[in-house]
Amino acid sequence: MTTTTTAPELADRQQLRSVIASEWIRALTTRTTYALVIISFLVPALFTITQVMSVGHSGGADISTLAGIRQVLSAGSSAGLFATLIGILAVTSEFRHQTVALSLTCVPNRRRWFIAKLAATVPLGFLCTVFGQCAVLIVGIPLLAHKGVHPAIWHGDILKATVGTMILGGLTSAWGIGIGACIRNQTVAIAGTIIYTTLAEAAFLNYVPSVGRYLPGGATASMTFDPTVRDTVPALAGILLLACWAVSLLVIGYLHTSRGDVPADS
Amino acid sequence: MSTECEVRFERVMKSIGGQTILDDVSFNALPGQITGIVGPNGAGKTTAFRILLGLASADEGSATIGGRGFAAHPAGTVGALLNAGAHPGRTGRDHLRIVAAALGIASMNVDAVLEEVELVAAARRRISSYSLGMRQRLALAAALLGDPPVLVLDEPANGLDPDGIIWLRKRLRAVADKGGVVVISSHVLSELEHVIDHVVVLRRNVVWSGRAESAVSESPDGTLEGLYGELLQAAV
Repeated sequence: MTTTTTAPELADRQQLRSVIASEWIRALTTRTTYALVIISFLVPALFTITQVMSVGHSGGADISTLAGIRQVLSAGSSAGLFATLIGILAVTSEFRHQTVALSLTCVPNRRRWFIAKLAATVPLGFLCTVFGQCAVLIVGIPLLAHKGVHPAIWHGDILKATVGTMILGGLTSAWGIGIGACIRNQTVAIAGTIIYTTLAEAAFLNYVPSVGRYLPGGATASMTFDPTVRDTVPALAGILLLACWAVSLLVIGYLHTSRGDVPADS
Repeated sequence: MSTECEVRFERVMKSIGGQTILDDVSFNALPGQITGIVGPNGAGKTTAFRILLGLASADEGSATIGGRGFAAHPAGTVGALLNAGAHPGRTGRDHLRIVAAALGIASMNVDAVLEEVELVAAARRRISSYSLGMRQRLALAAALLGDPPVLVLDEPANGLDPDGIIWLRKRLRAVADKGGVVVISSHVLSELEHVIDHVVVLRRNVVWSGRAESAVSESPDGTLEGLYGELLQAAV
């Protein structure tokens, strides 16, 4: 069976490509994007150095075990937060800097506008966690070697954790777009997300693990094989769970954006 | 005269937070003419534009361009200016590159429009360093990208210097002379008087609508300002 593409469909695809190109330029022409990608490299590197320095001290990782090595090499997931921030900024910057009216007069189809934001932001989020995990390996492997430990990065668990961490950024940046579309105030969206991911999620994982394992933080822990979090769902289920959270927030965010009037002060 | 791009408001009603902003507003803006919307603050000028551009919905009635809603037109049909919002960390040129890409317009048009609004020298500077007038020129440049046949401009002369105002008048006239539709709002009546062909006085509803020449001839002192003052006094 052959499928034919109608002229309106072709025009629609062409317009979507144009809007994605526009969103790419938008993302790549602010310093904040570059700063977040660089921080995504630096913060996991710093965490890894701290982890190695704490070896042998109280609370430090036991690098004679695989779990300890994984703990040292687990900081890449911290870049997931910066990927989320890139997603949040992609939407909230439009409201903060009053560019949304211009954007939506250029792209009146809000579905197309939303999809383009997603298409331009997810690769950047993915890049954040790829950089983060690379930083962990670049810094962690030599430091562990200095301590006399030579982990095989192709070892099943370490490799799975690396792949899981790299996928994380794509999902959390999509999650960020959903958050930004739901909470248009940039300060509230960023502060709320940081507080939620660092405090609320940690509290759930520690005190109500039966709930925490199904929250985005629990899903992240499972897909990145975080050895400090117990009773997580299987890694693949973690990926699907985080994808479900991202899709849910995207749907809510899209409905919030597509319906009703654009705020008059934007 | 072609009505392909005629802007038409038909019995538009809009309330926000229980307050009536537009009450049964009807008027047309015809091709080949510059239509000026005047009215006091809160008269509903910007709301009317936002409804026309699909950023707000009318409770009743319709605002159309060539008989269709704004979203039904191909990208680049309508150039709009509602505010001079721009990311302060971006350069003026990049701001316009984003707009051009979204409209599917080649980036060489960006350089052409930057030249037209006399921002070439500042094009690679961050917008945070721009003056109010430069931001307004940038917003006008975004509206003019791709030479759209319909222009919807809210307070386009805001912050412009005399040279800029003269350029703007000529540019708007050139669009209208080519058969385009230009709809502008302003609270500077003397400024509008020099450029518009058709005037709509708005105060929640259309208080007066007609040719600018008629407005001036009906005015007690032969100015648009005179008629405006009289109409609003009568409305109160």
